[in-house]
Amino acid sequence: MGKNLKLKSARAALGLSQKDVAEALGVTRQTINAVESGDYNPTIRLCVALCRLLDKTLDDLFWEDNENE
Amino acid sequence: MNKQNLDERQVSVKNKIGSQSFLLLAFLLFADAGLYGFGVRWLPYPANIVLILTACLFIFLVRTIRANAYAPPGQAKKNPYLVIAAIGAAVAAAAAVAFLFGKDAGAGVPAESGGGLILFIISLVMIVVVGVVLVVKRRQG
Repeated sequence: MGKNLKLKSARAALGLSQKDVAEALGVTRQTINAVESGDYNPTIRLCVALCRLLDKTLDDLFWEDNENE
Repeated sequence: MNKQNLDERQVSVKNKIGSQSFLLLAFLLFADAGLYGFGVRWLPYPANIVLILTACLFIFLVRTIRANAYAPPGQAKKNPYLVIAAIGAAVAAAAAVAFLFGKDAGAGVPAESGGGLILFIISLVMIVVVGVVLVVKRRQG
């Protein structure tokens, strides 16, 4: 599984750090880092929470295409 | 999501480490039983079993802490090496007690008396360690 660059860019566009996102969602910074680096597949619950926080859709953040590889 | 519980990745990692530690424990116990069949007694019973159990427990705790799957996200940053030091002290105490009483058991003392005492003392040590860790957590919190 490749890196999730869409998630990273969406987070950076709002000026949020991994720690900010983690604290907002009640997870650890390492979890957000693992999702962005492709080392961990989040549950749909975490995916939806991320989408709500970053004001994006599931397709915007998690649909795999050539950009994520 | 509840910050006082482990998050989903932490639960997944902890379960993985737990499964591997359980398999390691089973492997070591089978290996010990196999060696016993060949006449190799590296430690008298029950010191060998106690040492294998505490070693696997120690490995599980260290790997869990290193993988950041020990403390939930909402918990304040604490020094995890306090826990490792406490567990290490428990392992050292258990090994020392097992060694000291294990020698007596091997010298002709009935195994039942030595084994029961060893397990009782180790249980007390574990309870003391858990109590110390809880007190430290409460003070740091």
